[in-house]
Amino acid sequence: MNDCLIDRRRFIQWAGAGVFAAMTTQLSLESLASAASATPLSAGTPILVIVTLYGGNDGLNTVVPFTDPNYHSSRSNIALSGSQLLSPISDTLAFNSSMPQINTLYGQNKVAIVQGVSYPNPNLSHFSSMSIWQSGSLTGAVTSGWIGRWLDRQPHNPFTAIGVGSTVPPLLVGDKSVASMVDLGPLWPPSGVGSTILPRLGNPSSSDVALEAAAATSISDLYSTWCAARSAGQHVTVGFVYQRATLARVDTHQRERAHSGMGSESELLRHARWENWSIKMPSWPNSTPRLVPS
Amino acid sequence: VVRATATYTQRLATARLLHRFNFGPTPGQYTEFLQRGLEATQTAVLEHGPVDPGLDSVGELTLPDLGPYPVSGTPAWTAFWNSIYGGSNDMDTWWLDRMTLATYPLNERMTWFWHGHFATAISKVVYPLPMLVQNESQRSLALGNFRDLAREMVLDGALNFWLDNEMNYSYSPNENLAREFMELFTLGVGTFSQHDVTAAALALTGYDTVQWTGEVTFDAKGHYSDPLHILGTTARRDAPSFAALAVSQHENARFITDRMWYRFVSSTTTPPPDLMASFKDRNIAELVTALVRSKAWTNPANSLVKSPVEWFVGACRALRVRPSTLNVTNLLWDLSQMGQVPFDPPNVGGWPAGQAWLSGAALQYKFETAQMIVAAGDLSPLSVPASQKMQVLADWLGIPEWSRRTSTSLLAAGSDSSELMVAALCAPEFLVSA
Repeated sequence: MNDCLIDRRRFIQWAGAGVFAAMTTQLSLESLASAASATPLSAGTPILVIVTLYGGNDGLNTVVPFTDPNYHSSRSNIALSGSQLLSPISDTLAFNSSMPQINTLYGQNKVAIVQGVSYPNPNLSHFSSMSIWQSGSLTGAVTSGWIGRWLDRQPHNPFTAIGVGSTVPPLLVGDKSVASMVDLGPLWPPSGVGSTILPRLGNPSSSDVALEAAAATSISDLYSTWCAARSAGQHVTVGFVYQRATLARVDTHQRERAHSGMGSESELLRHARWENWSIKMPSWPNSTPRLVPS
Repeated sequence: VVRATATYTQRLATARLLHRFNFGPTPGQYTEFLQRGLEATQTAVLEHGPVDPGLDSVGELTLPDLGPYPVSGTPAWTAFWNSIYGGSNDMDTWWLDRMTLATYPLNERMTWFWHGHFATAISKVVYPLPMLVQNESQRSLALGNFRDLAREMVLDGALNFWLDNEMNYSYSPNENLAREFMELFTLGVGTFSQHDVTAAALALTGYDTVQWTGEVTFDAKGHYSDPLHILGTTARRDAPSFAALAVSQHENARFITDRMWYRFVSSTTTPPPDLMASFKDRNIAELVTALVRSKAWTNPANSLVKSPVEWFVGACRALRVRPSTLNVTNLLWDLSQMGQVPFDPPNVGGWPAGQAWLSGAALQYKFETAQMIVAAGDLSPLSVPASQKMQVLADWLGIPEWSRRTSTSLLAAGSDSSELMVAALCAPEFLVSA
């Protein structure tokens, strides 16, 4: 892992220009995707992309069972019909009229739908439901995530599963392994200590308690991610991925899929949470990543 | 002298108490407490009261009533949003200053706990004023009686607006506040039925909230006044009497004890069964005292990850840096990228815990933040021979023991004290309260 050390001259460049100077040498998810495209997975390698949209979704008014009399009788005030529906996708189902893009993709066999996802005797708790969804366990006895448990059986590689966002969702936490997380904004090489100390701080130590070992792994994974992004030699156009999305296996194709499934940038921003510092969000979806000159 | 007398277990327990109940030691505090012993440390971290000399320089925060939204696109609209953003930022740094500068930080630490417990987010409330009103309620009752706190919260404007209670009508009930009040604030999932939720929602009708001030008004005409069967008893109920009913349940003592344990001791182990007895009168201070004086602190299993704000405040306390003197825009951006800005929890369930905070994505912002703090801090205690540096750092930051990994890594920083301190703040031993 030490083959990515920052040389002294570059460190001085960064440190000398102040804390946020690294913004001028920032890398991005796009750099990471570029790096991945240089050494692509072999053709046909399955890639799983998971986009989690937290919050309630009215499934019956998303994929509408418009011929079902129970649908109309039990929700007479909010049942959809006529122009509120797109052309039916089956004898009994039609998409909500606000979903023409998904409807088109469905017509192209690029979308599948699983209806009525739930668990027996639901207690209506949002948080129990989210926990079941992420752990894949009905009892609450299992706290690891179902992706995390899959990771437990893989050799450690920070690029096997990558989440996007600040905090690690339970889905990606196994008993032994955890997916690495990358930020939506720019990846920038930590200046100063990054040059000499960061790679060493990511090493395991026999005296670590489990959480300290996990902290060390997160340091190591950040360093690997940054090294991989920095190795990118070309720019490819990749997608805009919603915060809190969870991705597995980084490569260009996966980015494109994420993009095609997510609609336009403006629509995504409407879903994004209001935050008073959002004006500082870098305009990276359209930016060309600036790579560290070698 | 201290090193010769304090065992690892003493160092561990003392560090845990300081980091978890007092946001971490100020310079010299850890060695002082090690000398005074564990019992004196427990007494010291529990200190609190109406007078805190550390907060003299922070003062009160007053925010204006900004009124309803102006017309979009007008100059008033721009000024309005500048006031919203500005007030929100002022409130964030005001609270971070309080956490950092308090001489007796327990009350701020407990306010922080209740903020995460009755998790309300400005992302929906929009106006900082009602968030500040809620924060002051939580501060004044942080170590008071939970009955009073629950009553304040069920009538709190920010919480009512956050959970849609201004849209809760007897002819069209909204169950959001009723459900979360029982599930997340007082009793826990599985201790009540859907029928209880439906009935409790009716008890909470008739209340309206002024979104820009947080004032909650009651209109008897809009209130459902027939008897309601909730949690096994039938009576006429309004919001305060529903809150009192929930708090009177046996499950309330277990639930609050569990939540306190989860945030202060461990998110993976469970409290001893007798701990909840200290909450029988719903006296928060008694429960916190029992927790501080429990045997939890010497059990190696009870490690915890510091949340980003706890990590940040701990670093500021150690380096005597006042948060509001930092570049506030950069600070709040960094905290948001670490996943934790005060007053903006991700959902009503509050902040995540444990492994969730240990992401590489967040770590790069911790490095940036650590550099910002270190640049403003006094590093003169590190002007000691190289052979003493690691011990000085451990005693300064309240680290029981550096691992060999971290010792060798940090010493690679050579004579540069800034690099050494940035790395120490980002080392696993400081990210985690072992």
